[in-house]
Amino acid sequence: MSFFENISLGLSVALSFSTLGYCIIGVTVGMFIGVLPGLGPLATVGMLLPLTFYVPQTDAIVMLAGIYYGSMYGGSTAAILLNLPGTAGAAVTCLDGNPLAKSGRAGVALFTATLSSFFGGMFGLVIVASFTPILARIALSFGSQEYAALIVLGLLSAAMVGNASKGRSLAMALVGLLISMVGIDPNSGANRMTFGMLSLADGLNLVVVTTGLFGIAEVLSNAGRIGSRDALSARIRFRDMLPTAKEARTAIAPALRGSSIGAVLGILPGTGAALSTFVAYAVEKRVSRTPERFGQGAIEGVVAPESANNSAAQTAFVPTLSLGIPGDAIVAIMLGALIIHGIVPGPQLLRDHPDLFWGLVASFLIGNVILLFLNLPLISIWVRILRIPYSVLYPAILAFICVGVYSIRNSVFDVVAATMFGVVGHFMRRLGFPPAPLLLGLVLGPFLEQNFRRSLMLSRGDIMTFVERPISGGIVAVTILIVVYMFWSDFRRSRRSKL
Amino acid sequence: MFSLARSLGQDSVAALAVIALGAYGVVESLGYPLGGLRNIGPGAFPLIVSILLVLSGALILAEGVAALGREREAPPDLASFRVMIFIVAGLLAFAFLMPRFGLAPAIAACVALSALADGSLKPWQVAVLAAAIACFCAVVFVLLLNLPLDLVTW
Repeated sequence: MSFFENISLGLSVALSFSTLGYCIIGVTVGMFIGVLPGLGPLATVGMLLPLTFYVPQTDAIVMLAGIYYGSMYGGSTAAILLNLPGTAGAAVTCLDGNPLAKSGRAGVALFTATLSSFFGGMFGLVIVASFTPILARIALSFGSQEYAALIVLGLLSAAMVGNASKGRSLAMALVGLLISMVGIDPNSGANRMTFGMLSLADGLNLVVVTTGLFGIAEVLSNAGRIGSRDALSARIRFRDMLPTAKEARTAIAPALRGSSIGAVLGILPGTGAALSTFVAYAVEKRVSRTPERFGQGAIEGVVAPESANNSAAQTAFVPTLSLGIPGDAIVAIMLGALIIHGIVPGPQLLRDHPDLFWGLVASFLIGNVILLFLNLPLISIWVRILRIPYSVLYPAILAFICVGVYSIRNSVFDVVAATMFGVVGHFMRRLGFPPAPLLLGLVLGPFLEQNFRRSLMLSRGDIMTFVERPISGGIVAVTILIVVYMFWSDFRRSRRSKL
Repeated sequence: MFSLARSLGQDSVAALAVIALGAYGVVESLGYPLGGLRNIGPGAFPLIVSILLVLSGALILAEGVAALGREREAPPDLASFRVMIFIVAGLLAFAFLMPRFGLAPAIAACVALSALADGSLKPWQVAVLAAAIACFCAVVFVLLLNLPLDLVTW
């Protein structure tokens, strides 16, 4: 099929009444939870996942994706106005966005953040539309060795590339793998780690773990802490939003750099939007001729991270839809949603369900445009939403979690299990464990084990099969390089700080 | 000096927890057939993961020692006893009431109990909030989305 046929197929899907409706719901919910500090896209996607069992597969994934990139738009609002990141991906935006707001230029900061988000989103969209089919074609020749190697690469890059302690992230990914093995082993039928409980025979549901680790644990950390907020009550007029011509010119290069960084980190399995903002900000500061302006309201400090996180939120779908390996933890949940709908993620997805892929890509386009119009003209509404007190919000979050978890299979056990994961997750955070790698391990665990077993079966027990095949050997080499580089740079940093 | 000791203390707690879980995983997976390299059994993969888990626990400890004397970001504080009790009670109340009395009472109880964790709402505000969220869930989940849940039963 030609490119235009694909696009028109996508638009015909995305513009159908129900898909368009779910796209609008998704981006509006995403914007809403992005604006509100204390409720992130991960918890929301996990919470709403059970509800998508009742809608068609394309609509479900369009809505969940809309929540993800919508939250990237919303996250900057609280960051700029309150110095409180609405989502993890907006933490860096605080650094320069809030000083801009304090100097009376909140409108300019919001406008630039929104346009940068839009630019990053469009950039990512083009990457998704052009790279996914190519990667999927290459991946059709992949055997189980390549898949096993790729999953290991994804898990290790999630653990290694990031701010958290490497040992802790690695441990979390491994715990995720271990949890994924609870239940009946599909190869031998053995009941693994079920402690004799029938409710565990099917394994621990993804929704149970996600809502517990992210939703409930987050509420435990925030309840009674986030008090009433004083949002800037000054009315922001459209006239005050336009940046000066000079600012607009200086924003172009950072937007391109930020989008590219976001695209690379989005595609790399295991690293996502939040991380890309830190990298983009650091790069801007390094290439700037006036690095001392950063932190005092430099417009580049808003442009680069905002375009990076939106770009990454889109390109995270590239490995997900071409290889079946999620680009980050949020997309991992969507992968789980696809599997529940009976769609096998992988290179054959594009061949078997072109309507789903191109419909999703077209919905990105529509969703980003909707967000642009949802954002700027309605900014006063979003500012008002910032004033909803957390003490009203979190009981509602808990109620939604309960309904969502219970509705999966009308099981009280699942609600209690989610509660336990919430409490354990809260203690884990206290000890500095990042929860996102666990989720990746949980989603990828069954794939990894299957492909690992199959590889060994095909090679008659020869463990060298993983390095002898050219592609899988190459992936193993890249994995080793990443690990060595990350430890080496850590070592160098600790040497330097001791001198 | 005190804060340094505490910071390694936290690393050692984290490392011990990971190592303990890994050790448990080793014991548990040895209870299943390991199989051979040609056809690995249900126990082999969990065994590998558990051994790696023990090793990552050691890595956490090593990182803690290497980071001694360096400034580090403090992890978030633990929830207060009150927050913990009321939120867990709210969730468990839902689990208890849902199959017995239906969705509306279960949500009202969950909201009412968990709202007490914060303590900033007056009793009548808590009651209004519980009723409002219960109504909202009834309309959205049962009437609009047609989830197979009973609103009220006894």
